[in-house]
Amino acid sequence: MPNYLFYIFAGISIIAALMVITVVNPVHSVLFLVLVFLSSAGMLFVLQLEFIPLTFIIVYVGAIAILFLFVVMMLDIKVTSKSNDFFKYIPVGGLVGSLFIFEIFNTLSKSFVIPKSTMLVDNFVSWVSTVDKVTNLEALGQLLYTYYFIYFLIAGIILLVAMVGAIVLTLQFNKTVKNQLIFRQLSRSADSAVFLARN
Amino acid sequence: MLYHLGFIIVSLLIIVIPLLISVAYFTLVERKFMGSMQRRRGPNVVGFMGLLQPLADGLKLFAKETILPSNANIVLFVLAPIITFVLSLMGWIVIPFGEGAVVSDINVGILYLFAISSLSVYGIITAGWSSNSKYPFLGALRSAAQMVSYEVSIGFIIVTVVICAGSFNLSTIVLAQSKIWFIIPLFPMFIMFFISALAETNRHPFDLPEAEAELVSGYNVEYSAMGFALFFLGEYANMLIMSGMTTILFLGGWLPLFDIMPLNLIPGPVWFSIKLSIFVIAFIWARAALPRYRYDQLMSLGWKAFLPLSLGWLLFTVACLISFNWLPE
Amino acid sequence: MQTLFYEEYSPILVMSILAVLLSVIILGASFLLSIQKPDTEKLSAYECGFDPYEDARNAFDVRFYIVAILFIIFDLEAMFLFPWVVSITHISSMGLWVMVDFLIELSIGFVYAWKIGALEWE
Repeated sequence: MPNYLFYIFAGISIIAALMVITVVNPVHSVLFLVLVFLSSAGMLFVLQLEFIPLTFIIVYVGAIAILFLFVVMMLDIKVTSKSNDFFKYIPVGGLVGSLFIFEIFNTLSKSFVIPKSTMLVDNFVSWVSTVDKVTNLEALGQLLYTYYFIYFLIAGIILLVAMVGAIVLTLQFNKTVKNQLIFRQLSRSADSAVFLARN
Repeated sequence: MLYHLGFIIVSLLIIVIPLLISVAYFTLVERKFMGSMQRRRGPNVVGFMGLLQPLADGLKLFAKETILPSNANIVLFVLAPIITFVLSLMGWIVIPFGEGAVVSDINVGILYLFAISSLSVYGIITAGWSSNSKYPFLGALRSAAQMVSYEVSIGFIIVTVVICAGSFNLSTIVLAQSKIWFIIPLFPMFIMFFISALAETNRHPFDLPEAEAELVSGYNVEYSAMGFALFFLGEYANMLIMSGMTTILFLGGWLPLFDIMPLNLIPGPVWFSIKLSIFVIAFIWARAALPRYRYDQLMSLGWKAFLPLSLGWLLFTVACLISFNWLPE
Repeated sequence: MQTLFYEEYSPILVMSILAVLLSVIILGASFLLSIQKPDTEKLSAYECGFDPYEDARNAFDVRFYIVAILFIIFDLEAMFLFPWVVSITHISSMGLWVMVDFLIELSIGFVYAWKIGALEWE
């Protein structure tokens, strides 16, 4: 039963991913991207993970896609032009895409080696996964902050750089806007505010 | 298999139908309560003392004409209330009403609730954009920025509670409070959580997205009939679920006030509903008593007060727990 | 293959389907059963009596964008805290200090954003 669910989610995500690049309206495209994230979170749930798909939903859907939506709305696209020369990006896109696929398969075949014995035995029961002694979250926490702490700290620095960079790039100071200076308002008194205007 | 599915569907209906009824009567309580705070009667014509008023309102909205504005984006326009309503129902699956009285007792229950509440921005922003009208668009933008700002501090508050309870499972969080409710050691976090819940559900005094005076009614101006009703139900169900989250995180869920003879005879779900109703009343009270915030004050409260304070209190709690060796497990 | 995990998560899937069905039924029944008489005035965008001059989707302030970026950063920070809080009893004091260092790194960014005025709404 869960296998069918996996294929259903995978099918939804592939179709939605195709819609992301073919749909004309950019807002629709971002919403299809959200559907891709949600269905891939569903795929991960079927694979019996629980923290990673929720991270997908909270970070990708709840934060990053919102930023995309803001940006797409801010681009102020009123007349959507449908360009027909869809195929002019094929050389570059195809190169990058095939490199990516090559890398993924290279890593997969090297890092995740399936033991031969499990492939031969017909009804192999993974007793480790049925016990569920340590939850996903605890297993992740016990590794991330001890063995892989250096990557964790690097992630912190990357986040810092991202934050500073975004602020520096976007924040332009607008001098024409009048600010409310509460101290100046409070320090105003009748003596300094009311005066007689002579001619 | 089919038997199992039927069992799930029945247990879900047992949650959904009382939820919809309580949302309907939430609106009646709100109108009655605000009526008495403003020295008038509130609805008292339909049924005995106005008890049938919500049903009459629902029937009226059902019979109204559904307006699909001509320059709106129809698909998204119809989809937006559905998103809001579905998300407001989804959260209730993991809420434990009593000991063991929960449909799916997942390991990361509180995280699931956090994810659902972070998704609920989509209903609003889709409604605002697809209406293609100025008021909804502005309301949706304000609402999105506001919900996003307060979600940050909600995240840190959840982390603080979890570190005291030692698990993300909602039942475990409640059982961890059997000695003392978290409202006492974590009182500032409780206040911040409740205020953030007000902001997260776009309620007074943070109802800038639907400020009647400037934005007419915010993101749902163009909606009529059942589309509007679904937004309405969704908003009130979200308020109920935020009250439920506050109850579970800080007031000990279904646990009795003291574990002594007359009090612990009352069943857990009754305790849970009493505590939840306290927050419902607090939501209405805030609406009747407080004036509206200004937008820059709202953002500065979220980013400059709640975010540093919740982060600091988190570190303080961790330091206390470690130095006194009080960590759970 | 029926483990405890599917036992707990299957209601969520069923609930999402059920809720979508329920809302579609509510919307559809109201649309079909009530009287529909659309006309131009009813269907135009609401704008205090005037016909709208232009499309409502205008460009808006860049500050919303900054808020969204800051939200991503702090949301990620919270996501990094989640595995830490459940495993803090099993990791030694090193785990604590690693997290303190991480929080200091982000606090530097927060203080910078505050000082430069990215959190102000003028």
